Amino acid sequence: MRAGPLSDGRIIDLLNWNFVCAYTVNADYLDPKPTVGPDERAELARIQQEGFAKKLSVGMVRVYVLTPDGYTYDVVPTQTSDMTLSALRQAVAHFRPEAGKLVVAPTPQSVPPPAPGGAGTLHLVSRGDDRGPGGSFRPRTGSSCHPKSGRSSCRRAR
Amino acid sequence: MAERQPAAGGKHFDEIAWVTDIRTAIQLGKQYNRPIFLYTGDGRINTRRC
Repeated sequence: MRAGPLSDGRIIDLLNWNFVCAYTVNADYLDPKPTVGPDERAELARIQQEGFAKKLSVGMVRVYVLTPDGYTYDVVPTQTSDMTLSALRQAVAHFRPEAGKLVVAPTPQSVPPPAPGGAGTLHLVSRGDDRGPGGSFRPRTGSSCHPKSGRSSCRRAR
Repeated sequence: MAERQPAAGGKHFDEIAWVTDIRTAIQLGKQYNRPIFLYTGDGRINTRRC
């Protein structure tokens, strides 16, 4: 998703000009010790229940389009950028939002915590350029690692 | 370290004007009369662990 539709300039522009964009992490809502409050969890549960009631393809990993007042309108396909773009364009045609300025400023979404004085921070992310089509991880049957000169060089078994 | 940095194309996600909770999104949706795009996922899409 991230390396597919959400890296497509047509979709990024459409989102920024016409939508309010949000992402959530299921673990924050559904873990035994969730990090978000009950009101926020109730909103996600409501959105999913409304999707079930509308017989939409509700699931854990989904893109929903909500009405401006937060009711579930549709589930957007994400198999290809063109499918996502088409569904989003249909939503724009339906809601006819006043396109234009960003509702919030885009900011880096992965920010390392501040390091204490004199210390550095090792900020790890998973790069998308070693993945398969659509940004998915390539299937592996195993890997082998060979420590050499203090550096591990790992290679795929397949 | 430079060799391990994400390519520029890997940062398009950050070009989107995200909020990270549903209630804020709904508040903004009402304020600006815009539909809401909500991605719900396993893993943490902001660090690409998804």
